Amino acid sequence: MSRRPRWSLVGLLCGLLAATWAGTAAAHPLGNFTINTYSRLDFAGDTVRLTYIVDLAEIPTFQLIQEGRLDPDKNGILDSAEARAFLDAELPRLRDGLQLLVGGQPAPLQLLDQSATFVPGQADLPTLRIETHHTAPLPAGWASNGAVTYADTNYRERLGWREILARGGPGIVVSGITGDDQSDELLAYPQEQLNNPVARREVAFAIAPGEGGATANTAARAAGSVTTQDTRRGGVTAQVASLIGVEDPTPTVILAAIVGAIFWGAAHALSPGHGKTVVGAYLIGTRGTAKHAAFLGLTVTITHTAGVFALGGVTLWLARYLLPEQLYPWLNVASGLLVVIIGLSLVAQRLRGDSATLADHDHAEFATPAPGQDGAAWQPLAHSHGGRTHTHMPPGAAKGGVTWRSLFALGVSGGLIPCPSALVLLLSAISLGRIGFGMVLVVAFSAGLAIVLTAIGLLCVYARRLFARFSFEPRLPRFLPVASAFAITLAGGLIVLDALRQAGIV
Amino acid sequence: MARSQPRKQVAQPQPQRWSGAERRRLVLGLIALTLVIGVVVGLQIRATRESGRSSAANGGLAPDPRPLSERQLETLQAKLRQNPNDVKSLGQLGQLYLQRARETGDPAYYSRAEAAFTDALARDKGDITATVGLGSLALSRHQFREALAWGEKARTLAPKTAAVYGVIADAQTELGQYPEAVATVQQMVNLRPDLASYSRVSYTRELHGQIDGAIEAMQRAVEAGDPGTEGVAWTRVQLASLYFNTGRLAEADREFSHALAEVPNYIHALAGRGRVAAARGDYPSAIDLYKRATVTIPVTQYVIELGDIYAATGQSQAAADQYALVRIQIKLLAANGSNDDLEFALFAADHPEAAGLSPAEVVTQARAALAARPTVYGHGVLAWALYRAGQYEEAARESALALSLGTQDATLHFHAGMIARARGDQGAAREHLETALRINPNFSVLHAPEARTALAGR
Repeated sequence: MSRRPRWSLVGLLCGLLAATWAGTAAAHPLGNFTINTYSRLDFAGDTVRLTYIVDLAEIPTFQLIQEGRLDPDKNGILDSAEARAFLDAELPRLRDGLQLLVGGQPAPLQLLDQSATFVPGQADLPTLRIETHHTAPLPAGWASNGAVTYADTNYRERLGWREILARGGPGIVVSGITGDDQSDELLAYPQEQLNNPVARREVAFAIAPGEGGATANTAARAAGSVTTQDTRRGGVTAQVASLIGVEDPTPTVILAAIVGAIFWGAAHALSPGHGKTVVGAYLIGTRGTAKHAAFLGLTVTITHTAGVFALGGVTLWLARYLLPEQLYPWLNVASGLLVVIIGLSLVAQRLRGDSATLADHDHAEFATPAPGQDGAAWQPLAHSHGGRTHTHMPPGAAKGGVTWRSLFALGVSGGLIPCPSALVLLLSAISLGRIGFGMVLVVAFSAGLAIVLTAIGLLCVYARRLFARFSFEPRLPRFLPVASAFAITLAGGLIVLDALRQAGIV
Repeated sequence: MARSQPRKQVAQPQPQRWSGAERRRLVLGLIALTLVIGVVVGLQIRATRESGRSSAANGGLAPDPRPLSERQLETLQAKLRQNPNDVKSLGQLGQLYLQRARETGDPAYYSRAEAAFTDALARDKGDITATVGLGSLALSRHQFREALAWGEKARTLAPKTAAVYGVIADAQTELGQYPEAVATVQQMVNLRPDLASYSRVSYTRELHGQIDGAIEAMQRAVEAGDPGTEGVAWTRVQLASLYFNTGRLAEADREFSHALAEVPNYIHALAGRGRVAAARGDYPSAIDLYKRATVTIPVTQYVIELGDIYAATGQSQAAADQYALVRIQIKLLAANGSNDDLEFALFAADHPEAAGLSPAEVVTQARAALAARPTVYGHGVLAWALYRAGQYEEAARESALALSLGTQDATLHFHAGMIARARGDQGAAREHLETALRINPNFSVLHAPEARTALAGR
């Protein structure tokens, strides 16, 4: 800006526009300085055909001419000898910039046909259109491993349209990529208000034997395990993620979002998994009380929140290397194993034969917080009467019944698996720059989760009390604890098994 | 936070129940769990890397590396596909397109922005976002009178909206209505002291020769912006340019570097660092930086500056190539119906043979540019064109108009000095040339040496 006038704040970028903006529809809506590329992969039989087209607008074409790489006699006409010389010099480099892998194998592209032509552009300046056709045989195992990746790394630093599409043909079905040609081979660029300029530089999709001809636009089953959970995520997850997308949140909207998050958390807890059975069985078997159910709920909330935050952090950090979907099954495995261990230790305790005995004392101040103590809500459960510390554990706490530790472990296991929905919520918030709001929603979501688990726990607790009035009471407690311990172990095993199946190991 | 919660919970309910051994076992258990997760994650990383890391592009939950505006754009587009009558979203969509145009330099977004704003106004004639948006768009297209009309219309719709005054202030500034522009900027900053208003305060102060005040306001603008956005990077480039224009190369380089940290490969910051390198005499670095800036988008100003560096270092063919590219851009601009660009007029005045114009034709072009954009810089360009055409008396009058605001601009003073010298007013010539070199000893690779020669040779 030393010797040029300082333009206003809008000026400089606008000057750029003024230099490129066409009042009428111009040949290159993306600007006179763009380089646009188009790749189409046509699969048929056991070969793939690549149509690769490059459209250089006026300025890059001019620069090629200026550098002597194109139209060396500078007469504005690209004769066939000049075109061939240009293609011989430039095409190998362009082809090196294209990477096509089928089933992990590089497909050797053979040149079929090439052309370079001047197309009249604005201000009597030429633009350059390069058209190439390549073919490659598909590797032998494509029918069983049809994962295809394709990348166009040419002109990375230049602005422009980048379109990639793929189509099936006789004997081959393509899925996971569009077959729609949006620019008619770079001859007519669309400018619809609701579409962004295409900027697709790499794609991954799948091919499979079948009746092709058109692209099957089914959900991509390609690209390994990535999409195994996609169909699942349509429901709760999509709705949860949309909670965060609200524009300009007002207090009402925020409140509604929080209520919504609680609701979805609750709904999520009702979906399979989450150890509801475990919770119920545990509380019945160990004769837990409402307090235990509440404690369990709190543990689940906090663990789940912490888990989501932790996984969110890990996810952000690892984002470049792996997909969180791949992490879930393993967290499920860890969580399931934890449940199995709890279950087994309970079984062992029960089988030692110490059936629960009723607690022999009651305290009037059972639920009264001790004044002036931190953590007042919990303090009365373990306090001191004249020196000896004891605990107000419910009946049977000491042997084979509810221990705070196992209750805690159970709560941890219930909350350890961060629900994908909650993680999506947090990550959406981070990506929208509303981290604080996202954290609040995750807490709300976890609370919803915990409310349901606690409610189920309470239901079990009170249902058991009802049971207790019946006459088979003496036998039931002897039978229930062991059975429920087995149930816990079994449930844990199922969680592990399910997780391993998700991970594709079993 | 995530780590401390469970531990707190352990401590709270049962402070006495966890014996040392139990606690140790729990800690060991947690460590083991962490290790298991770590191993699993490690294996997964390896597996992902081996499978060719392309799967990350396939819409997993992995955080999107794309800029925020691009994702917001998709949200809005989806919303509008469901409900095309959502005028508020249409306006926001247009604003996002404008933002994307600024971020990418891709003019394809401008026509989309216009379509969105026009659509919004067709559905609601009084929509403020679309009205302001069309004003911004007119500014982008250098249609300053239209921009002012949109701005005034927006003011009647929403007199308390700061953005309205931004459009009006920019239009008034570019139309040379400086007292009005000062008042508008004051209204704007009173309404909303933010990046947009502080940067306009800065530019207004700069025009009036208050460089320190301009720097202070621009610093406030930087502080008021969201870090990591193009807006902040742009503002930092402005701040850096203020430093550069007053010869403070170290500060300028620092701010250009900060802008690059905000937005990697930000072309305006790359070119800025190139300008600093050239001022320090490090021409190879300067050329490299300018090349990096112009390969993505050949911004005319940077192409010219690169050509000037080639010329200053005796690489006349390379310089001619850059100037030829500028000439192509002039042709394209003319093909698009614009003949009155100030920047090209100045280029033609500085490089008549490269522009392929006679001095008289350059004067004609400069007059047209001044008519479209009657600013102090417009007068400066016309003065310089007239000087090159040998019309020194009129050149002197235009030069006086260019300096009428007291703008501390080395180039304007250099022009005034050379014109005074041609008219035989040696005292004024010395004064202006010394002022130019005092403001910025390195204001131009071409003209700073010329100013020194003129001063030395008398």
